[in-house]
Amino acid sequence: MRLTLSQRQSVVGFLFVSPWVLGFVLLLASPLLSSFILSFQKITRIRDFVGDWVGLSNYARAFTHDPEFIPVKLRESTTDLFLAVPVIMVFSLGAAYLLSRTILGARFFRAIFFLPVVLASGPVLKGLRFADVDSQIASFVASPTFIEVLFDMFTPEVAGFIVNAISQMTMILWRSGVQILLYLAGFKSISSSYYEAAKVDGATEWEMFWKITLPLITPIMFVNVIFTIVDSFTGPFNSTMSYIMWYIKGGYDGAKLLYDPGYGAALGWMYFLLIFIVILVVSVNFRKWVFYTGERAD
Amino acid sequence: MSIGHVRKRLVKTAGRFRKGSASKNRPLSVILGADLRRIVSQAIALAFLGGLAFAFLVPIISMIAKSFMTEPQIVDPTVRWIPKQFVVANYSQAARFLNLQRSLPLTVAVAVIPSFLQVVSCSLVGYGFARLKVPFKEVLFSLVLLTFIIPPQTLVAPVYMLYRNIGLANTPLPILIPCALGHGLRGALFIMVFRQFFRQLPWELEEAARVDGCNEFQTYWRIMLPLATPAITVVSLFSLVWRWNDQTDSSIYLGPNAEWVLVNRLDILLQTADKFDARAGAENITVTVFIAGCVLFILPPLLLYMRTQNRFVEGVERTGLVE
Repeated sequence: MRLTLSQRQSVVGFLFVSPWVLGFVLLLASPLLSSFILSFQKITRIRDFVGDWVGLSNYARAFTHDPEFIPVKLRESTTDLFLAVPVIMVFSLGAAYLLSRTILGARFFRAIFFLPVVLASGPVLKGLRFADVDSQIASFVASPTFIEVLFDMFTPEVAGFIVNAISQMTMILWRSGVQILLYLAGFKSISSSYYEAAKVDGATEWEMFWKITLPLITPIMFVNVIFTIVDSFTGPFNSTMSYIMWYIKGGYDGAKLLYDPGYGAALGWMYFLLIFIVILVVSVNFRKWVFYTGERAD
Repeated sequence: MSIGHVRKRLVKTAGRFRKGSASKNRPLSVILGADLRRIVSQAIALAFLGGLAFAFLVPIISMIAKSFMTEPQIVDPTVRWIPKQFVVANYSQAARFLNLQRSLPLTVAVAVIPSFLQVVSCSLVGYGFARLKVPFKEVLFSLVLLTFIIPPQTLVAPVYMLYRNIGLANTPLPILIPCALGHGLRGALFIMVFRQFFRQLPWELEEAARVDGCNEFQTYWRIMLPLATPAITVVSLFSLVWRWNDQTDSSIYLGPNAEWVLVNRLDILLQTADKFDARAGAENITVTVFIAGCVLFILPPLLLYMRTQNRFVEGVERTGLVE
């Protein structure tokens, strides 16, 4: 059989991506399918992973019978999302901007800000909790008088939330290494001729940041927002993730052994759907603000 | 000294400060004002960055400090940073428990081999997506993006059953096979990195290679991949470090060897240290020994990062990850 040139090119191109496609079918699509089927079952024989069909009851259980999943775990995860994403976005943009403007020690600071990406693993983060980092930070930032003032000013819940947020701050900032790096690369890619032209027209540094740097950096901001959301939702310290894992792998919540792969699969699917919806909503709204240099607004 | 002389000297210093952009004809007040503002803004930026860097380092410093303390000292409010007496024994105890002679070779192998496979497979796939005609390219690439947001941990049970059914459980293959196929720990991200990198190289490279008689694979292997060192640096460092820190894969698939992967070993050390208070007279594993173990554990990636830091950052900037 003779192939036309374009057919031959298609075949070769497909050969290049075929390892990934093969892996997708074998290692992802089929487990996704079996986990979807599993979410409608209750495992009765653990050894062979055989179970009874229970219909939607696993899904219903999450809403009606589970005192932990929605009221505790999902709430913790979404609180972390609402706290961490804005903090990380603002912090990484600010830090990267300062880094791109400093003459002295930029390389040194850059290394420090990226360090947590290299070092942060499960046991080490637990070790840091042992080292009592949270309260160390809290005692640096919030003196006892400051906390008293807070409790005077707000209701205990709000004040508690603020103190909690402050004490978590370092650990939140630790998650912004990748984002800083991406912003730095983004700043580098902005042509200096924009700034030169603006300077000739008498723009100040402040104006240049808002009117040149920020619009041109929006595509990276978009990437960073998505990355931060995924990172917050799926990281090893996300409480919903570890709760789902307890059901899937068998783990102890306090003294109670949780093991029910069918229920875990159902939770996993609902959680995945939630992540997907959040990302969709954010993308649709954020897209309006993203500015691509190559595009023309006709 | 005449005013003119002072002015000249100021212009000279200012010129040195901002690399020759000072013009000789500007009035003195402008030069002074501009430089003063520059110096002040630099100082403020440095102060900010210094404070932030300190906040970033506090956990690590505190961890290192506590790794030298005895257990009572870490709850002693009078001891904050500097241990009352340095307990180096924490380290020897931690090293003995982690059993570095046995765990280090296995851990390095479990980190290095998959990351090598990932570099090869993800660069191949990334090149295909960047430069070649692939049927349903858009659809396939959005599937790649989709895999990035599926937490792999949620698929642990079916994937494990799959490997068990074909008899591969308790071998290293379930870790190696995904990496060889461009999947594995954040494989989608690495494919994106390579795709972005290859996209920005000039097309003339491939045209010249074709004129010289290279087929597509030869072009990829002999022309494009050698040019991709920035992307390779970024991907291999990320892959190595994430493997080093990963607990999920190594604890599930390595069977009895799992406990000899350093990250799991460290977790066992943590559990032993946790239990220590309860059973008196047991092996003398305190929390401080565990913290010393953490310091030992982060040392290799730390050294690797410090050695490759410049090339790494440059790599991120040059991969065009951000376009």
